[in-house]
Amino acid sequence: MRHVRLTDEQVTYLITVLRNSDRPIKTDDLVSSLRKR
Amino acid sequence: MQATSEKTKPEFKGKADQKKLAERMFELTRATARFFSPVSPITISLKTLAEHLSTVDGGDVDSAAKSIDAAFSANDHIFAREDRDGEIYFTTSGTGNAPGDEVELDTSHSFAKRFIDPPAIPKNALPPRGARARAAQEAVAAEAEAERSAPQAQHEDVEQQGGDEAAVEEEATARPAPMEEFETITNLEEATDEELVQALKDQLAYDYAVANFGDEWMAEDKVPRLSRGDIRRIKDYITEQGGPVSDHQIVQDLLGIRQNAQEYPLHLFSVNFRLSRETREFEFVGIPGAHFWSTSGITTPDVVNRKASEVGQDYRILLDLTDEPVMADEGVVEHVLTFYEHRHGVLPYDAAFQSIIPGAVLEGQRAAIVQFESPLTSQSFPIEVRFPTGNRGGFLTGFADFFKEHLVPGAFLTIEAGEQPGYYTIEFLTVSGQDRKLLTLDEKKQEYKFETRTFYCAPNEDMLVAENRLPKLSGAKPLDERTRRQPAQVLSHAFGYIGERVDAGGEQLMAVMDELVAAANIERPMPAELIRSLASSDNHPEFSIDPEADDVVYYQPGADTGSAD
Repeated sequence: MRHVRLTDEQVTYLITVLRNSDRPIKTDDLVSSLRKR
Repeated sequence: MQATSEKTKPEFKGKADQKKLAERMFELTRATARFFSPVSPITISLKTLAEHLSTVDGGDVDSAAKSIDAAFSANDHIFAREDRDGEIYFTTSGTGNAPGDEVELDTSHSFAKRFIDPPAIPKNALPPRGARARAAQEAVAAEAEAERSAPQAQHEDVEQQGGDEAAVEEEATARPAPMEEFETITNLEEATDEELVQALKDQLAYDYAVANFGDEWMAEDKVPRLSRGDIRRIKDYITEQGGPVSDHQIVQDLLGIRQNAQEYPLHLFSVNFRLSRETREFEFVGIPGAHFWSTSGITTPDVVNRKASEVGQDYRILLDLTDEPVMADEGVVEHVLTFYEHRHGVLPYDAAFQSIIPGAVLEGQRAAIVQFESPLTSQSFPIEVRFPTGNRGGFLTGFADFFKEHLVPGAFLTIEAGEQPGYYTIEFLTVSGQDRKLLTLDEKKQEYKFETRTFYCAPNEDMLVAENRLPKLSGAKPLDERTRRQPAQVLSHAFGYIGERVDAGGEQLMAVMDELVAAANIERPMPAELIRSLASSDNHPEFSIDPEADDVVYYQPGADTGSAD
């Protein structure tokens, strides 16, 4: 498995997704949210 | 604290009498300001000095003033002369420096200087706390504004927003330079889900703005906080219960939130996340799906007749075994109890058990508590799962009483995962009672002996450590620690107890795998995979496996090359 790194833009997007949610989000849901973006 | 300070004396110039007078007057001047700092200016009038000199030495004041003026003028590097409306004043300092000639003190490392001007932030420093949160907040606000102002051009705005976020992000944080081995992904299709999950954990888990517990994430400032009172009540509650308590119990019983309440998952996450930060008072002892919390003073199941750390070292061999788990059925592990496991009340946390008991939730988690139920004996007891660490293998502990009461070494067991995470069923087959002379260790004398035992569990006959199979062990002492650390030496000893001569005249011994496993596991954990690995290794030519029968192993005494395991 490669060691990959998200861009700052992708990380900020993920934090934005988290800030818009009032419930905890699963890791897999975050990944799929990132892909659907 | 500085108790004394060395006084420096300046060098005086002029004629001998001027030198003497200047020195005398300098000491007098310095005495008038003994509590000043060494560099503070001391000013005194010529008239005062002259009056003092005439009083002490006699003579008139004017001639004394002239003498002092001349002496001080010859030492203008020490005294600065000043005429104030016709009256003469001289200024010096404790170190003997005239004003304007002060020594520059190096204050670059003084506390005051450091306090006001802290060192510059290194270029690769971590981002300041909250900077990323602020960037995200601004991004959210900008997004909301964009939606309000131009809903028709939403798609384009979102793309622009991405650029703005990146710009805000770059301004707000000084990101550490990416390490060489990491590959920055711009096109997400190039990365697998597994790689993205790892990247997400690496980059978000340590962000102060993000709360993470196990597989769940939230914005940190949206996670409800627990008061000090809540923390104390939770600790008292765990102590009252006398054992680990689940996050559900804490949320329902202590925080009073119903399971069907909308905010229930939020409070569940809050309890887990907040308690995970209270590392001094709480320890997480759960597994995925069954989150349990413990605190100091709670007794946990322990190993019997040996230290837990030593058992961990004994199971170190599991770290090197990479065999696929052998499963009877999905979620069911079949296991034959060994003498070592029966004596210490443990089971190996090997590939088979790992397939039904998932690993740690938190990084660095030491152990987990799971519940084992025995429907046959109507018993339920907690079991501690010790997770593998760098040099210690994992194992399950807390079975000592159950094993002693119902089972014998060689007994056949099945362990099945329950419907609820964290619950397991342990079962064995019952048969009509058997009386057999079985191996036991006299813990006081540290000597093996055979005792008649009546048992009702179905054993694997080849793995029963009975007197008729291992008579040589009667009266034998356990191997010393040094020998038992070497699996090859333990296997050699096992052949000594269980091996049969291949030829009447030869020395080569042979044994069936099950019997060998039973004999070797008297001293230490020796799974069949390890024995196969030793027997097929070029480092141990003394052992060999029958090419036609996989479960027959040979041992040639004296062929040992002495290589370490």
